Amino acid sequence: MKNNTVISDTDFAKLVKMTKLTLSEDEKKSIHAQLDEALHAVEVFDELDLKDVPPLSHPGGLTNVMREDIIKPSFTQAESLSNAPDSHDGYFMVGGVLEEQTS
Amino acid sequence: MNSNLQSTTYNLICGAEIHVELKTKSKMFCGCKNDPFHAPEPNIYTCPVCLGLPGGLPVPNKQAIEDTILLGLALHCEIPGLAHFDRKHYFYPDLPKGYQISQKDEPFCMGGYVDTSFGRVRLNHIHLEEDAAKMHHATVDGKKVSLIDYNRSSVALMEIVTEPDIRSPEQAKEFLKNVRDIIRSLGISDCDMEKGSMRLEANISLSPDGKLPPYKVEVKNINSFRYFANAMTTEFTRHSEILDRGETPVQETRGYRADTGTTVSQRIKEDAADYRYFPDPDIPSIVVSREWVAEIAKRLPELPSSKIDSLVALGIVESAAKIIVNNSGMMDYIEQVKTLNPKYVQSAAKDMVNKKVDYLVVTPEAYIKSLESKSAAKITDESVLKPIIEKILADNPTVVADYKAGKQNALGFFVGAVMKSTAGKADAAIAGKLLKDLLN
Amino acid sequence: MTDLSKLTIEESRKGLDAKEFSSVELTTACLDSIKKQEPTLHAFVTVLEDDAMGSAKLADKELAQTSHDKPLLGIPVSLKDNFLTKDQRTTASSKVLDSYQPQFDATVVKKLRQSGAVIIGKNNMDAWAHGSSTETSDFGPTHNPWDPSRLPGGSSGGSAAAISANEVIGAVGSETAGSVRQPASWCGVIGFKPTYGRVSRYGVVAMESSLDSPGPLSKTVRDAAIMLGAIAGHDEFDATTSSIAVPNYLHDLQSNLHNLRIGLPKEYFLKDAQAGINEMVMNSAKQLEKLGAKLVEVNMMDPKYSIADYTIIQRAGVSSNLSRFDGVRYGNDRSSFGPEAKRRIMLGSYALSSGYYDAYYKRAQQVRMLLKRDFDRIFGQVDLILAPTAPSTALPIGASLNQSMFGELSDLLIEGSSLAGLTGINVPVGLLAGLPVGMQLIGNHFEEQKVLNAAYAYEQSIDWKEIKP
Repeated sequence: MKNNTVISDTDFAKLVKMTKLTLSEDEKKSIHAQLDEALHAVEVFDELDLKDVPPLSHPGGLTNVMREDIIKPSFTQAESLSNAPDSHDGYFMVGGVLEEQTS
Repeated sequence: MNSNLQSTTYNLICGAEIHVELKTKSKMFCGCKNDPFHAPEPNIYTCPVCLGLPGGLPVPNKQAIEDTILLGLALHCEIPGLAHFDRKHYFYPDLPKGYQISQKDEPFCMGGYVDTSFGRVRLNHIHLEEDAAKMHHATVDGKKVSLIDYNRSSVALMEIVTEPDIRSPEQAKEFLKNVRDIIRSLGISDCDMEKGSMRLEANISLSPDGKLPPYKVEVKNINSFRYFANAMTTEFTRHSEILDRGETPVQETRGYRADTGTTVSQRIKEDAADYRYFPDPDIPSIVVSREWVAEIAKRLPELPSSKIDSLVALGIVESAAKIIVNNSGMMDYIEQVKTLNPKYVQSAAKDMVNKKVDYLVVTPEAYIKSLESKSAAKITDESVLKPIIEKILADNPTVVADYKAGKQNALGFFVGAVMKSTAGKADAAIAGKLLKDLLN
Repeated sequence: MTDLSKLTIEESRKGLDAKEFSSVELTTACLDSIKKQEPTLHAFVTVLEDDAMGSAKLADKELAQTSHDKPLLGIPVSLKDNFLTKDQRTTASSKVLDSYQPQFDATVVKKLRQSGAVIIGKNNMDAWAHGSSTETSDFGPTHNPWDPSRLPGGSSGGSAAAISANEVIGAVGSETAGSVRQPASWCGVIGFKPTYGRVSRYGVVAMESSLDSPGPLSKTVRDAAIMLGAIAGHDEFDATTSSIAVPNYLHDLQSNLHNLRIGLPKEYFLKDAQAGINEMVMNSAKQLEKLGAKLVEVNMMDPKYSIADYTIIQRAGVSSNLSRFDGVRYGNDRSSFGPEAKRRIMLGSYALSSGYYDAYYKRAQQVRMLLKRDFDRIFGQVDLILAPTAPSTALPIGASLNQSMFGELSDLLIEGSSLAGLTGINVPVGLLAGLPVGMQLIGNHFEEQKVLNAAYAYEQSIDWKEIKP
């Protein structure tokens, strides 16, 4: 089993940010090593001939599952907010968001 | 100081991204009511799906899909035989699942174009996605907070992406108006920018040599077609100055400021967002058969441009025709007047547009009756009008001279004078004819 | 009076309808069993004593009427804690959802309530279903009733243990790849995984959206048929459910094997499986042959491909499905995720990230197609595939810690069939050093009846039911 890293330190740092997770320095080290181990296992894909093989995104083989444009009952406002850590005047509330959204 | 800074001629290269909220009855992936703008309270149209609760699953709205394909047909797009939805991941409090269901690789409509008098604007594609919740900033108990309303979460949203074919602010305005008119004529959205059912983004860059430049600036917060055009103008100036200095404008997102008519930089992201798109396993692919497309195509109405032409052919002035085609009530009225008595079509059009007749209250029959009684009181007798006209011509020798010198507008002055002296009772057409005879 | 908690669903149905005992009595017996054993087993996150007694009383009122058509009326069942139960705490065994009170019932829960079931509690699981041990629960592991120093398997370990220990009469878990069959194997109970799309996922905390399959755990095959019939079917709220009609599994259950062709893949009889397992399962295969089945040797793609494939696809799905837990609308924020969840989210995001998507996720979905085609080929030769469910019996508590690939390796005999969306069952075949061994029967899409029939034929021919922890 190779023991060289698969994920670079830069990519790992990007991952932590992208996934919005909190990791201690120890966690970062151990998880990085564990990720590399898992990715090494994936090297077996190289043994297979995947030319012209379509990806299988939907194993059920279903297509065209749609709904008619009919209004169905919604939650009440109280139900909607019932588990909100913070709310105000019928709105969900979060601390002031400074970051510009990505989209 | 006379600046002899001669700026190189730059070509303005602009593309648009237009988001259009569809006016389906229910949302894109659930049965909650689609009515965020008029909802009396926040968070009253939510469910496990659009609230992103654990175990919520999306089921696509067939009407929204058909509306999107319909627009694609109207804009000359190719409708591929297979489409699917992808998940687009990013974190923001207005995005309940932490991903938006959108389309990347297999959208419902590919290519397409919209013609303008300045040239064709090609489309890259049209895709279908879900809207985010509505968030606004406030201060509660002295703290800065964001308040979120999920009534809008998962409303069906079409995104129209153009190629960078828009070359002038004027073209932009015409293009956007055409797109809006077509969408409204299809009845799939109100395209109301105030309500947020139509939103605009511009991608702007300058090219010194006609080739696609190595940068582009995204401009957001554009709340009207006029602002879109302004954004292009102000960016043209800003980019020119930078390019003149031999630098390249920063690739970034900027926000349009209506008060200053300029743009300001929003945060520059060090890394471009990685959306980690992958096909949504919760939604089976959509096979778009040619039979289905043909069924949808039956909904294509006569497009505004040809409707305008047919009204103009009836003698209606183009500016009035443009207003009437967007209003089905007015269109019906014209049709009825035409059936009753075609000679009143032009006045009906003029009076409706100038709000001289309330077409919602006065029936076409009553309207025509009132005109007929007015014309019955009209002075059509040339023997009565001739002396009035002769006096007016005698009283205004300079205007007569103007007319003879080629000023056609002078005729209007005389007709007005005749109308004034007869308290509006003279038949304008006959007066005009007499005037012409006497003047020539 | 016999200890009512030891009854099967069928025995309970007969007894309740014959008024031999009441639902309140039956429910009380189970609650007593739970109270007695929970300090050792910890199979439950939440015991719904008041709600259950309330439902039992209502059930008794209904039972007092002349007749009913509810197969589970008055019968206590438990649910893995990833099934949302309205106004009843649902945690997915994670601190993130520690105090979450759902605003709606999962479709499966709705169906169970409509069938008259008494929902007695929510079972412990690997947090977010990330595991094959129930050791990664944020609330502590469940212990195997056969040997409390050992794990029950996972991720539906709590449900399997509750059935095995007679804390409940029936249970529902969910399987993404192994999470019903493997704990059933380690706990010596019936565990059934339906075809993907046979049972609705609406209201089940999602793990991997193209794999998750809710399924019953039970004491007998007939019980599994009853439970499956109650929860299967098309759901307008789940676009991946099938419209194929749900057969009457119990009614159509029969044990005549009609020259059923059963495939034995040598790739699943591992050289380094725990000594004794292959022999026991092979003997069970021979038993089926005596009952009329035809055994056929088949070849299959090496399990190493399905391990790698499942690793990528499952973790990619996990990273996406856990994005909604941001603490805004419910639950605690993302700092409450446990280490296993963090690991899976990160790997999954990497596999989907720009620049790596083609090499990892896209290739994984292509490999998945190859695996499916492999099964299509095999099902052209046989009706069912038979193999050991797990390469070992229950491992000791602590075995899974810091093993990043523990789940994938434990489930290597199951991942392939799960990736292909197939159906399968675990049937206990006996004890090895005092711990249960299970064999799995795998069927093609929507061949649940064939699987149940073969399992039933086998079950009826041995005395395993007499073996209890």
